[in-house]
Amino acid sequence: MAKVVFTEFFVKELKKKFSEQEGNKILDLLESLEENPHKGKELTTVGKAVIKEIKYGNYRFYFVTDGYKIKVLKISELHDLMIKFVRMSRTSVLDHDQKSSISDMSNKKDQQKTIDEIKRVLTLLGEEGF
Amino acid sequence: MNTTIAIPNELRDQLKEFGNKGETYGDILERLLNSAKQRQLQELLMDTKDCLTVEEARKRLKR
Repeated sequence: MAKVVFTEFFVKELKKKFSEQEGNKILDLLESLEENPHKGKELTTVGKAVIKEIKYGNYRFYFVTDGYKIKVLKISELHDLMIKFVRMSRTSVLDHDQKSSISDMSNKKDQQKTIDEIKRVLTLLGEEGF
Repeated sequence: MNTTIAIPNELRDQLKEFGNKGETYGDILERLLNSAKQRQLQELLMDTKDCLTVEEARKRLKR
């Protein structure tokens, strides 16, 4: 069974935007990922980690999972990590199968593909993102 | 363009052990670097230092 954890920023934001009751409902939903880690829409993969989103009302919550851990984080944290990817993946190339993934191979020609994939994922992190 | 780097023979032999048939040292190094980088990126994403469990998160909501 995978274990769900939350970043401090996420919990702070949750407390700020929702009542305790609503916040607990959201935590219930996210905790249910422990039993059903396949829930949520896959956005992209990074190595063996998968970035996914799950909807709650008008909100979309983002999490990363490697099958053992499920880390729920704020959209801005995900943004920052994706930007870090761009910097770290200067010599990366994307594996464009049916699902796109951010995997590393060193080929400068394909570097743009990595950046394009990051941009694609960033555009998916919409306004309803939490 | 290629270059030459000086490494101990022992290290070169270790590197050789990682190689597959037909791979150059450059290929081996590239593959190892890619693997390391990918792991690094994954670790960055999955870093759970300072993260809260469900119970801790619920407690924070109460405060």
